[in-house]
Amino acid sequence: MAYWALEALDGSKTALSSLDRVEGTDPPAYKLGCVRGTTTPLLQMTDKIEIEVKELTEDSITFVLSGCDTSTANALRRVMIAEVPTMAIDKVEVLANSTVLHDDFISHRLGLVPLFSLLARWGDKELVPYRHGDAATYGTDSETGLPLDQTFRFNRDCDCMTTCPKCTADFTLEVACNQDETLEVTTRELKPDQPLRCYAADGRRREDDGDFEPDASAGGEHILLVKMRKGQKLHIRASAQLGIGKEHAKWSPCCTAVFAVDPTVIFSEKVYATMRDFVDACPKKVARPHEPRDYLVADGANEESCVGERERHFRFTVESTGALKPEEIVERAVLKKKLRDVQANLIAVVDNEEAIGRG
Amino acid sequence: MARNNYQDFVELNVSTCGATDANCGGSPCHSYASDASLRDVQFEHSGRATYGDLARGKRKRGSTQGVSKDKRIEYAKQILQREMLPHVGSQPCCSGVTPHSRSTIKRHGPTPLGIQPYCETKKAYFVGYIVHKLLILRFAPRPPLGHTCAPAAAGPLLGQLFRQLFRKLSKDVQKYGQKCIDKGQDFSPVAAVQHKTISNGLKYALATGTHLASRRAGRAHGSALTLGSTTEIGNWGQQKSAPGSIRAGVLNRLTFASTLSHLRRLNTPIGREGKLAKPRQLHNTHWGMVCPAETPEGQAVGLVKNLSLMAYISVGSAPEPILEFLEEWATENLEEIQPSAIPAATKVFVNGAWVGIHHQPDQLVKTLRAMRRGVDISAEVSIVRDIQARELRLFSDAGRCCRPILIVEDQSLLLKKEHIDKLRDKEVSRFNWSDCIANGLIEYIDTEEEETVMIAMNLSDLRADNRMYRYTHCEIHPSMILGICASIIPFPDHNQSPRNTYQSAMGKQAMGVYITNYQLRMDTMANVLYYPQKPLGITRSMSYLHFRELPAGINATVAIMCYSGYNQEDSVIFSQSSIDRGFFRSVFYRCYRDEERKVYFSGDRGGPESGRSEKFERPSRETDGLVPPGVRVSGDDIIIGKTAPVEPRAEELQDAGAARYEKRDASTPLRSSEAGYVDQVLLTTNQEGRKFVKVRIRSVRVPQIGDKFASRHGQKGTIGITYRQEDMPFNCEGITPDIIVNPHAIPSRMTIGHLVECLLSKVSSLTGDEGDATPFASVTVDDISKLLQNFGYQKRGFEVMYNGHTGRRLERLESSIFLGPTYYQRLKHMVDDKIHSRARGPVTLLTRQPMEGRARDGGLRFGEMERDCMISHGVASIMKERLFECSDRFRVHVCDICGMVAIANLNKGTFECRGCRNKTRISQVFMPYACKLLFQELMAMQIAPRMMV
Repeated sequence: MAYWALEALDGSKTALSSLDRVEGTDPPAYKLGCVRGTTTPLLQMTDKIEIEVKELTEDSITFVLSGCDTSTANALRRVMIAEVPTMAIDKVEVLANSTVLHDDFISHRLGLVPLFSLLARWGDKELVPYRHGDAATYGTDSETGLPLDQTFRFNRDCDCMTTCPKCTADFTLEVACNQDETLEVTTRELKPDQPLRCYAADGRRREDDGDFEPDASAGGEHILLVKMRKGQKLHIRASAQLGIGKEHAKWSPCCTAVFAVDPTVIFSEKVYATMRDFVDACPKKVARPHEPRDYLVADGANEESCVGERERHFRFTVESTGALKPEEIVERAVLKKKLRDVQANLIAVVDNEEAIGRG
Repeated sequence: MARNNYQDFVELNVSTCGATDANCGGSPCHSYASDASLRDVQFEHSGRATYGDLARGKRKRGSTQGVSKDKRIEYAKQILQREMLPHVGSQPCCSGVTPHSRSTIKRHGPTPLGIQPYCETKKAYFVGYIVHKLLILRFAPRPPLGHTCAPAAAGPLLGQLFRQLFRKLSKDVQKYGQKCIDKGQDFSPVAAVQHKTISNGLKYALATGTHLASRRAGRAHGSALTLGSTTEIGNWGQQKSAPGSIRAGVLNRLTFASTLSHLRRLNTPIGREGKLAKPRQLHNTHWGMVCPAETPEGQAVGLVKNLSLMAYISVGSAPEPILEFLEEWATENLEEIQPSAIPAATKVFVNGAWVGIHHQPDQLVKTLRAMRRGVDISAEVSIVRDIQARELRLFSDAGRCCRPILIVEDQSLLLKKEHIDKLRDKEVSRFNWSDCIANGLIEYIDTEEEETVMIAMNLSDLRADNRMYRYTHCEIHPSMILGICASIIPFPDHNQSPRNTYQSAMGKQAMGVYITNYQLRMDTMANVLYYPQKPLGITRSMSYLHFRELPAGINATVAIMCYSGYNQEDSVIFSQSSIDRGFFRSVFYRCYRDEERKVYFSGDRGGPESGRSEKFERPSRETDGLVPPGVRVSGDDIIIGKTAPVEPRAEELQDAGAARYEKRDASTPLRSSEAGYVDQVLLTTNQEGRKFVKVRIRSVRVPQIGDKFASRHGQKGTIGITYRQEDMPFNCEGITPDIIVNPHAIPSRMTIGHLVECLLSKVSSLTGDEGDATPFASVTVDDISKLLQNFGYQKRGFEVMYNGHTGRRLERLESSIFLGPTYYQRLKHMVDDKIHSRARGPVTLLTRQPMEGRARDGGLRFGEMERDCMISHGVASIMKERLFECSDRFRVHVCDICGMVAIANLNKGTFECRGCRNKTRISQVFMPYACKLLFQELMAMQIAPRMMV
């Protein structure tokens, strides 16, 4: 549903294959599952769901989702937090550590480093990264020989014995402090083995989305890992794997993903005339007289005034950790495979119940 | 009282006591002491006999028979000179004044090394004074001045101990010298001085906590208090420490605040079981000296106290400057005055000894004060003028509680703005605290002097138009009455008082950075918080406690709400996502130690060659027997491999025995319930030059269900459930709480400070400043609310929140959720350290019942109440199973004839009762092993328990 709306945002016309459109309805309705042999949908979406992007910065997106109910909006929010897969360091091998922080401490910090990878997504089939041409354009990774659009697999789904480049991206961190001043070890020192596929997010937005090459020359916002004094050493091998926020918060791509419901304040004109002071006293300026959209002045309202929530209208704010671009978090939150599974299972359940009913 | 000379005094006493013959020198004195029934006045003196002892003949001096009367009188004279009222009329001595109980009339005296001339006169006067006081007390009772606290610090206690030991040493030397002379040998100083007398004596006293010859009377009205010693030596928490014992213990190193608090702890060595409420109650004179909040709960309540922040214990100074000054300033010596002059003049006492009288006390006191404020005499000296009793008492001894107060003159402080400015830039002006004292801006006032001054609570009380009171002093800040732990509480003045007491106890269990060099230390146990934060709501006292530099907690976002019911009954809901991100993670260190000891066998002679050493080794691996750092270890792994030699068996056995072992395993395993990584291994040598090792194990503790947390308001709770971020409620800004506390925790406990702290912290998080939560300040909730509203928030801190599971708005329009940051502490109680279960396991040797306690993999007690449940439920078989089959079931064979236990050889299948010559009529019965044990013990007492089956 939301995906459909995203199409408009995107501009490209991808066929909405996962959900069946009900013919001849306006606004377009989609059905989720049908009882076999009939056309009666189990769950029919007749909503005209819309997304209007209000603001898009390099680490956050604000948009308004309208035309759906709270459960749909909340589902989107929950999935963005917990089920959009990203890469994060999961296993750490400490070869040398004489810093003030012990091994576990540094490992935990490494795990929380957001790793940027376009290839972190659900399922094997959706090979093509968002908004990129075919695989041939990108060639292969020089180190591993993998095609650059080969997405990462979950380690548990991978056919390798322990780890392989298909499910794991390795990093090396080797720093020794030889200077008198305190040395700050940051994610800049975290050297990826597959620099084109997965690397530590540095707060830089690439000029062109197709540019896989991290620009080493440009300064970025590197995350401090540990401070060192003269004579201390740190040598770490870390491997990142695909995961979701449900398992550990380090795999969650969002800092916050939240929707707010706009309030509606309805005044009779008579009341509004007398209550201007009251309206102005609101610290959040819920009601702004100059923007009539935010409150309605209703003539002859039954109640003198009432405060309510604007229904089917959700103002979303999503902030990214840096592991994904904010708009991609929203896009990837529509778990098509999961929806398909739900659809298939629903049909199976209905069939099963019917069979029991007949029997 | 008429002027008595010494001889008169003796005769007076002899006659009044009705002693027929003063054959025992001590007798009259003893009678005096008991007749006068001045139990306050216990002239205990280190290493010397008290009157009671003398009278009871504990220590005899000279023979009692066949000595002429003259000699006996001479002897009694000597005793009176030396032993009676030793503080009067002997050479005053400043250092090492023994701590003692106090009364208004006496101060402890110094060592009577030199006896002053005319001291008998002084003593006689003093006795007269005592009698006078006693009569007044009997016939014209005045309310007592109240007790004062005079703690005995570790230093004087150790000093006293040393003096005793030194005296013992000198006596030994004397004895040795006498022996040498008697035998005509050469005197060898080396042999005479046994250096071990002192070192061993000190060691013993510190190790056992018993004070050698501890006869110090500490039971006077003012309770004698023992200050926790700083020495890191065993025997901590000895409950029944005798009065005057040195309480040596391991310094608490859980949090920095707990360490500080431990060093300022006072112990009242009276019985914990005493029902008397008086000594436990907070007394008026405790104001500013003892923290009103910080005391343990339970049996030691009120007996263990903690010093307030600015309380200071005097270290003592020499009284000579005062005496000299008094003489200069026309104090009339007792020897030189007519007794008739006394009633009109003011009596002058120095350290409890009556030194003379003075006719212009006003002037004298004024000059004395001025001198003290100019540090011409020590700033610790207390000047107490009792106008009513016409007394001037000066004290310079050690162990008085003092506190600094601002001096007020003409309704205004002497401390001016210029001083404050100078104090502000200390680097330039070099003006500091001691300058404040030297310039007479601030002075130390002890409990006794405090009774004679008028102290304003606030600066505002000193307004010029306030002519009601004539203030002499002004408090520095009322929050200075609090101790270390209570100073960490924000807004304690908004809390119900027991909550502050609870927090004072809990703050000591909080995790934080307990000391900055923790990585280099090998403490037996240590907890360090991963990301400690300084609190958003701070008190000004925290600057002096270094709470910002060494904090013990995290500013958690807390919502007070009901959410799914997993925070009922003092449990809290935690955000799992926050935990994943490092919220309240901590690291736990435990240190194991061992050393190679020398093992002596029965055959050894004790020479340098005898005995064999234990060795660090591990036969299976070719290492030094120690785990290397970085290795993961878990329950029962050997971390220090050690072997000890086995005593060689006797020759004949050696020939007969096939296998003979030379060594046995004496390794140290990891605690069975713990796991972790080897953090550090320290291999060194001990005092005796033997190998000595300490191994530190580290394990990271991630918060989980059952771990304990607390705010700073006595609001503790355990984690009931953890929810991920998406399941937590959220507000319109996307903020999800880290902790959800149940609203039922608030009303009955009345911890308003908790709510105010939250509100203040919310403002602080928006301003980016620290919020001032100092008690007794003028900040109001309305002030904070206004600030919050200016930031566009609901002014009382409420927010609309949405259910994380459904996305629906929580609580309809009329109410919303109190949300904001609150400083939370992680307490050391964690489930991983407590979780325990057992199916089968070790049993005790004696009764064969399961062991007790988690550390020994013990069983869980099926106690009386559980038993009662089973009885009332009527499930006898369950009970038999729990109490018998699962405990100490044992099979015995009983003779059917006599009912005694028979001999059974199960291998051969033969049974016999020798007494009855019975081999056939034997029954097999099952009984608890404890029962069998009882029967055997009865049999050992010639009682025959017969089991007639």
